[in-house]
Amino acid sequence: MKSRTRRSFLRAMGAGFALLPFARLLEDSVAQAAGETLPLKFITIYHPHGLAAEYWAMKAGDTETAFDIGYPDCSLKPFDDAATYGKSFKDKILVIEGIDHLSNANGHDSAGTILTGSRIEGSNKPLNISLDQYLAVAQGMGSGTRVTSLPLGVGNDGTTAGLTLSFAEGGVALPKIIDPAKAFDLLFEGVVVGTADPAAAAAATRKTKLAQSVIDYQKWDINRLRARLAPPEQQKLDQHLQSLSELEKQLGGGMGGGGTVASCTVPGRPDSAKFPKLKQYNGGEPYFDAITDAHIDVLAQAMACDLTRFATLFMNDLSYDGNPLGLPADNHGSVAHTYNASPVGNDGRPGDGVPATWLPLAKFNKYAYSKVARLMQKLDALGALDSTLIYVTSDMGNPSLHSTRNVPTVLAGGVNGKFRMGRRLKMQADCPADSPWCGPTDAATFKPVTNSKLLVSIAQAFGADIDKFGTQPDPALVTGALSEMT
Amino acid sequence: MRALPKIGSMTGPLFVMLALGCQASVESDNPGASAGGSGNGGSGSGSGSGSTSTAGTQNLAGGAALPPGAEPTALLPARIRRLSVAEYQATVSDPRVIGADADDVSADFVPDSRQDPKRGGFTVNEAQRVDPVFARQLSEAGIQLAASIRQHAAERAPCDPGSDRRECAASFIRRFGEQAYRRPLGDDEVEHLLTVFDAASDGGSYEEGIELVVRAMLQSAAFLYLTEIGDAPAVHVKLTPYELASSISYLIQGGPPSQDLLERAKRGDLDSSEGRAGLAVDAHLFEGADAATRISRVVREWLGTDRVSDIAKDTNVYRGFADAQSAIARETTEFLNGLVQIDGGGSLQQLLAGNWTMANAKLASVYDVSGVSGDAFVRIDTPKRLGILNQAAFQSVFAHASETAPVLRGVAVMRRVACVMVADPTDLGIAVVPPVPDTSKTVRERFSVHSADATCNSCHKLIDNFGFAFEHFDGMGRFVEQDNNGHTLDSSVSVVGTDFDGSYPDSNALATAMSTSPQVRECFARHMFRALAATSDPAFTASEDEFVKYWDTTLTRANDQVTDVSIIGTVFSYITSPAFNYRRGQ
Repeated sequence: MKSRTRRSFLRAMGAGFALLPFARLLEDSVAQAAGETLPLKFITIYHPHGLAAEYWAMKAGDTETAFDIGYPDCSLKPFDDAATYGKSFKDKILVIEGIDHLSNANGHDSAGTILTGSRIEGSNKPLNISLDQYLAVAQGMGSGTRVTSLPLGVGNDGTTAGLTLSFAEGGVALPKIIDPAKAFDLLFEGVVVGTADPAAAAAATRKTKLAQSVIDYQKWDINRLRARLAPPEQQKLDQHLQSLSELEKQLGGGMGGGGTVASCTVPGRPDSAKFPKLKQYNGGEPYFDAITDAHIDVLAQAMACDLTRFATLFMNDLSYDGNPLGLPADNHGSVAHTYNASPVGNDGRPGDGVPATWLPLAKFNKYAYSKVARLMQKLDALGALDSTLIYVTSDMGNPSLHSTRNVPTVLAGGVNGKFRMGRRLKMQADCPADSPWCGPTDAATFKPVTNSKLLVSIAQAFGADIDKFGTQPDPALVTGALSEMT
Repeated sequence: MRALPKIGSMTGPLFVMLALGCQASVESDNPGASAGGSGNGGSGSGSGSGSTSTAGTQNLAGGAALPPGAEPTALLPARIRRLSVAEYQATVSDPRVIGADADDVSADFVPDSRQDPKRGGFTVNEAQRVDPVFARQLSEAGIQLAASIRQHAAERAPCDPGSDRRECAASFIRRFGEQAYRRPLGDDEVEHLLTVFDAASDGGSYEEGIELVVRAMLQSAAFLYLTEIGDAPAVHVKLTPYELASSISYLIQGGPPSQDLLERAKRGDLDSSEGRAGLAVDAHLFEGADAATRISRVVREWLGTDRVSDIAKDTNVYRGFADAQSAIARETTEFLNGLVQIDGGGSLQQLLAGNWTMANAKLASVYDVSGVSGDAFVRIDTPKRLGILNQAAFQSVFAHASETAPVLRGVAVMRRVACVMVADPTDLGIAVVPPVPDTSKTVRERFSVHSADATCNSCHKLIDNFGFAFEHFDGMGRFVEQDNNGHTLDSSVSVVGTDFDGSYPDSNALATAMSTSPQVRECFARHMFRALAATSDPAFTASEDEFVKYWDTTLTRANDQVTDVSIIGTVFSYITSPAFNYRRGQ
């Protein structure tokens, strides 16, 4: 593994690389003055099983800016754990209580609402594009990088609404890459670092030429067919053409996009021996932890190299005998479904709950956040954390209720100063104190704070001039930013 | 997998269809083809090329004359669809394309997207796209498959020393292309592929050129998409012989057409209903593992049991599930295979209410049947478990991880088997809160909250009864008298809103009633249409209705009563329907 500054990296690329398509972009990036703000990057991370609010929500005495997340069993502790992660990231997180995913669907189908702000319709899909795709594709913010957007998943490559964060126009689900080695290939394959060997450069040039020839034929062939079709049928080919353009961008050894690069290191290819099986229900479960780590390491380096600026990571649980968390073999049935909450985790319902059921779920939450902290540590070491926004959430709040309200929402990173970090926010309650059981059908009393408002805030942080994101029957629910973010 | 028997052994339905085929006549000057088009047989005003050369101008004219019985307003549109992952695999595994070297090349492909799950959710559908992740997977597969051809270039793309290697390449492109694209290549295609060949052979070897050509072809639109667009846009489009051969082949066998089928199509043998009916007897299309796999896939996707390999159960409650999972998944295919062997067609009545199944030792253990050993599947009697809905795959898929799910089971039976299109709570703006776990009650007692709540009751008084009938099957399909908490279970139900309304002691009695229900038979035919026509889009309801009308005429009757429905007969009914090889211009 070789680490280089971007200037030495460019020098090392040699003459052969100058022929490759991304060289000019890199030259542009180098031309920009050092110290300039790095381009903003957006990573969304999903974790399953909702939240044990008892070990997550603000405690008595906590304020917006002075709060304790270091107490025993607090699931947010990894963000304030210098011993493990080198430093505390407490000033780089923004924890928001009281966000609702109005999916109008079973909790398990609600992941599709996270980045779309949309209801999930009967055919199990949201109704509009997801924010990552809106920014990266529709707004063109991902067009300058080698990979427009990077969808990663652990263990499950399904594309139903409950298994996907990224959706194209119209809510068409986009698949995920579940093999970290394949993700590495997508991002780094063909990159030639640290050699000016003319033979290697010539081989790379030929490889690119051949691949380009294949893509040229495919494009010609699609257009040949397309010309014979009526408009509705032509649309079936449009995404195919777009995908070929994406492949075309990945040709050659280009490292960066149009912006400046933080610190670029080409990592080693993830060792597939560490995850001989990948898929859930097919023996992959014991390797999910290793897969998650490998994904995170590749992702951090890709962001630092400005190979992509938009990514999603769909995490999984550790449902197998002898998992490192010491949880029951079935996290879903024996942790999430047994959670018996106190009012703080129960959408306002009364009752003391069963404290013994909170801890296993909190332990799983903490595990999920430990992965986010790992990503933050890596990005920080590469100088890219301050220019990154990480949005971490789950499909549900209380998992045994399958509630999609009061979902765990954590923003992390420096966000280029667009959001004020190092805080905890508590949104207004969905229901009045005298009617804590209200629900979405109680229009007069139910006042949710939807994730759409958060999505609008994020879009605005990226410079998109919009004040509405998502699809709900009441447009007010998807309109306006969260005023507390800046 | 055992081969399906000869279609010639099929009983009633096939003979009826063949007879119908003989009655049907395909006239060249068709008086019925008046809607919108002038026909190409009599008037001569439409040559088949139409007056348009550019798609989308909506000035379509002319086109094919429709055969008698083909309703113009019910034609499917001229369209394309991407191969499903299984179809891609079958195509590259064909020895004429790549062969055994291609096995498992699609193992890690992203799963097929499904259309509206309420109306079928079949993998073969026109909603498949090529997104960036899939494009990259296709690219990687193309590289791998092309390397195989290069390795065998001496046999696959021979070129004598001294020959013009570009001419050798052109010859290979035409030969290989006709197999990969399921049609002859146009000169423009050959020319462009030679440019690809040149890119690699310039500075490289002949074999490298061939390799790059194959890599390009196996990712190209011509390879990936099946077309149903005819020769040119027109009001009524007749499929080309090549499109027709591919349609039939992918529909029945899930893979590319044989040379025999292509020859028949080119001769025009398949243009008419009776011509296509002849395929049953002498083309052996329903024989062999490919057809069995395809029929099994259709049935499993229809009932949703294909998901049984992608679920997990709470190991505290259903510890044996993971061990039996593959046997549970395989039962459906084995059962269907056994079913078809009885009469060559596969009885719907037996599918839904047969008192037997196929089991190996692991499955027999789930079913508490003794005397079965080993991995081989053998026929066992199951008097307490009638038909496919009472088998473990259906019961496991439509259950939760740790308990049964009467609502999931009820909705699945209503929508998939009886076509009672009960709405989702989502459609009605109702937020669902699952009943709170309570070990003092049975699942049925907990769900009785539905009948007490007026909002829930209007739908759940229908749904829950369908689901409660299966209460004696636990969440992985084991027969149980009591639930996990020791409560005695009650599976007696009254169902309403169907043509088999009545009271039933359990799901076996319900399955028996459904197996002879005209409503269920029609629902089966509708789902088969969606699977075979590759669309669950409600916009095509007119086509579906027209098929059902035709299908009904092909059924065997005694004393004016339909005796049964054949699964393969229904597939054949679709192929022999008059409009099968016609499309409407868009």
